[in-house]
Amino acid sequence: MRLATKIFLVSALVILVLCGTVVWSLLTVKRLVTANQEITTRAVPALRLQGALRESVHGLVRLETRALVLQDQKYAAMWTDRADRATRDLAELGDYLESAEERDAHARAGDAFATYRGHVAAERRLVALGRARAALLIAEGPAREAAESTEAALADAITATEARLAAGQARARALEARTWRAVTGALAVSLVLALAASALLAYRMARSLGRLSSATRSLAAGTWTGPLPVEGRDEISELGRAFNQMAERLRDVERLKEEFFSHITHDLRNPLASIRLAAEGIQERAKAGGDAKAARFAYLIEVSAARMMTMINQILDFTRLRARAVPLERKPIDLLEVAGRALDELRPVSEEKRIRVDLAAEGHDFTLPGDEGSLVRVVVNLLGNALHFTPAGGAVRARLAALPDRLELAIEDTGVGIPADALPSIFEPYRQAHGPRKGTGLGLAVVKGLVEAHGGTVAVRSEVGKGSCFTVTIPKAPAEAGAAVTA
Amino acid sequence: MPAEPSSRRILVVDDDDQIRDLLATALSADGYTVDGARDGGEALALLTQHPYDLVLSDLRMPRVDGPSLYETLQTRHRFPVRFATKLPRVIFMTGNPAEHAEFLRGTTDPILEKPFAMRIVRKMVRVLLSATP
Repeated sequence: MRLATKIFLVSALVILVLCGTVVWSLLTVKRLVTANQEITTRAVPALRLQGALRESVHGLVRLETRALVLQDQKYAAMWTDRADRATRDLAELGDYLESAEERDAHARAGDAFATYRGHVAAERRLVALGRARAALLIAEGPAREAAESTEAALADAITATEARLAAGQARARALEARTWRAVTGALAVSLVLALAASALLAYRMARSLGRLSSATRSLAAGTWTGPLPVEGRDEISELGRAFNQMAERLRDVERLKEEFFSHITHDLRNPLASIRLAAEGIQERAKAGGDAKAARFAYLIEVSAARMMTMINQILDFTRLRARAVPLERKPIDLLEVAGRALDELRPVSEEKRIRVDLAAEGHDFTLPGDEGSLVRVVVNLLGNALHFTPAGGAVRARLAALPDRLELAIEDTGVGIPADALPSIFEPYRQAHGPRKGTGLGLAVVKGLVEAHGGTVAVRSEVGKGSCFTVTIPKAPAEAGAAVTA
Repeated sequence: MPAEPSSRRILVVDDDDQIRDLLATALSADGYTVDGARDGGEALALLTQHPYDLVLSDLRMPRVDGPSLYETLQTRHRFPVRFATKLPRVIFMTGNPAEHAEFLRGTTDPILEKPFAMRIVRKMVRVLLSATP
């Protein structure tokens, strides 16, 4: 899946969950509103009507008494008017009632009120017949009883409605509490869900990018081996595939470089080998025939071929270092043994110039993970330089010290020294402190490159006329440095 | 008591004509019988015709290179059905030991790094042949 699609889907999921929560909340709020509406539009008017009816029944009894005692038609008309209104109110009250208790009380009130009206009608008839005394007896007897029954039934209805109101309010409160819980719960769940989805996406992206960047670092350091495992179809996976292609391409280039240097080395060394062998042959024959001049010429050919070989080796070494085509084959190497070998290799030179060469070692365990050939070249180059710039009869001292985390090899001579202004650029290629002498001017650049490829450093201090000291420091732990050259 | 040089047969295998020629000339002057081969294939053909005491072989050659020549010689020696020849001593020559580092680690035979001096070749040949019956 494409990255954009993934991000879109996660955002869509978050938005959908939030929308769902909102819609559900609105529905719950609507139920709450309905519950409250029921209270305000039915229970409250019912209570109001019931209260008014009780009042009006009470008033009707007083009006009835007044009409009977005063024999006033005005009061009688007023009573009829109010009684009609109370009957209408009773009928209307039926619309607002719900519970069985309410309806029962309402029915009883209706019956009692009808009875009361019947008694009052009888009173009126008796008054019209001039039997006021009999009418008063009815008024104070069964009529009063009916009115009181009506009031009692209305009081029951009020109690029932109040109970309904209380139940409704309790329901509304419960609904409200439930709504709050559900809404906050849904919000929390959707938030957690959204965060989890985003975090998962971010984690997967970061993990893939992290793998890619560490692969890039190891590719740059030259330690990259296998292809990056790539799955999925998003842009990061495509980047991973492109990285693999690039690494493959770089490997091809590395291989080509290796092959090129191998060819060049082979092709340059073969004719030099022939020249050297032929010159040696001529020398032998000339010496046997007593031709000293021819022997001398042949010797010069041989020496020149040897010099040329050294130069070619240095140029090849340096070019390979620059092209990062030096495969360092690291294995445990005893640096003391390496120094000893280099000393043996240069013994003919030191003996010829009568230079005393010492090798001193401090500490024990001089092993470090290194490339034997490269380390021999480092020591041979430094020792060769020391011998070259030390006049006959001088001394060269090599000191190897084993420190807890590193080895230090110092090569000190009693030679001509290096001028202070030339010191900073002494390790740069094609720089020679003593003007154009023999050599390529690459020896120290190669030393620096090889030492740095082992994760080490090389330093120099020198005084003109007194001598120089080169110190190579190489860590004992395998360094992560690639075969890089800063020269 | 080692045999006289004249009775010893050496095979020089190198695709570089000059080196082959020079080695052959110098070693024949020392009294050895020397043949030359341009690559491993030619060398193997010659090895079926004569028993050689020593093979001086370059490592990098067209067609059959030094390591392949060496492997074939070892196989022939292990299964001496058709090639009842003795296993010659071998000296490898190379201008770039790093290129064949893995192969060279697996052998105990001496290596001459080009450009080498003739006196070294002579010394090595003499030492090896004196140790061979």
